[in-house]
Amino acid sequence: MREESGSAELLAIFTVFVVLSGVVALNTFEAGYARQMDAFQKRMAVDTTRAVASAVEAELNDSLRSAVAAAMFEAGKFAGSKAEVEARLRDYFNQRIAAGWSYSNFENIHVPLSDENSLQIEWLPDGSVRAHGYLAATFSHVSGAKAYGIKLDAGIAPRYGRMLYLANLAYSWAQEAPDIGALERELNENYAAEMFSFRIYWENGALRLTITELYGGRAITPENEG
Amino acid sequence: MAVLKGGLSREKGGVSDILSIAFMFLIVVFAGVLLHSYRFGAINSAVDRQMQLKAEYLYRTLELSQVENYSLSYLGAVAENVIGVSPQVVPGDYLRSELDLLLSYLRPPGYAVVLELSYENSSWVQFSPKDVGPPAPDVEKFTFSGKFTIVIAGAGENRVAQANATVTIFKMG
Repeated sequence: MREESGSAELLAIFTVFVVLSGVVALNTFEAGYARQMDAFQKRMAVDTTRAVASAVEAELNDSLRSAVAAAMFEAGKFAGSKAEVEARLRDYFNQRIAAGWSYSNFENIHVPLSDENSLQIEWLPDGSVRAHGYLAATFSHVSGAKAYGIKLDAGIAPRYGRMLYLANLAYSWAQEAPDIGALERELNENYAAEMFSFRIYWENGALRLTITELYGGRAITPENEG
Repeated sequence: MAVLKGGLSREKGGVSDILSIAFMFLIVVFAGVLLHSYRFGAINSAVDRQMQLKAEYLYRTLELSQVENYSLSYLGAVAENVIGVSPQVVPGDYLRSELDLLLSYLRPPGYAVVLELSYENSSWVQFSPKDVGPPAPDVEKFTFSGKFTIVIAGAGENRVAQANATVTIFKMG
């Protein structure tokens, strides 16, 4: 009889104790779990922000390379100067930046347009170009993670400066040469070691000269409209 | 006899003890299940993070690695094909077979990879392994996307062409 009443009290106390400690344990587990999940989510956000910044940087460097090649090709068709190549490449590169980026879960991706201070263009002794610089970009993830800055560095193979010089020189010789076929052969022999190829021809009454960079460049053609 | 009576009364009075023990047993089972589910929740999140990282690394690899015999990245070569740059540097069939080799080497075991590039009305979709179809809507997917830009010389206003690129990893059925 004594044991029965004692057990009922014990059960009641035990139940209250279990309920209380259960609530405390649940809260503790839940808080710990929430912290753990929050840490994972933040790490994922940081990873994603870093990956997006890296992808944008790689894409911009590829765009810069592509912009320089396109600028050389377009300016080269009319024997444009180095300044013209620079102006075109800056314009094409900024067109890409102006198009912007949109990524889900990103509050803002801001990449400023390039200018003479943020993008330097160096003409190397062999006539090729190296474009390098730094854009003060900002990548803001909705979770608060941020990444800053884009490093630009692009080396371009076609030796535009050298091609422009040789094209103007060869064109002046071609205008006075009695036999342009012989001049073409001579030029191809003399500049074979530099991997340049020349073609001189008449088209619609105009004397044309095309020089090709066999390492991978396109063409540069001074034209005589008269 | 007295001992027997005493034993009987202990058995009668021990019902609440048995209930307590049963209750404790149930609590232990529930607590175990709860702890287990919390534990696996964190592990699942960690696995998700790893898979998301793998998708990002795969994209980066495609961006940096070059097609054999061509000095052009895989993403660049596919973007040229999709945008329709002329002359085409890497032939489409060769590029598809090379990409298939690369993706089958890089994809995590038990997972499939989809590479998609699109530009205006044209697109390039490649699955690895080849026979796997698009992921079912209820399958968890890990995606990373970006753009590949090509400045096309002499293309006028449409000079700056941007192809959208997406890499998706998902578990195979």
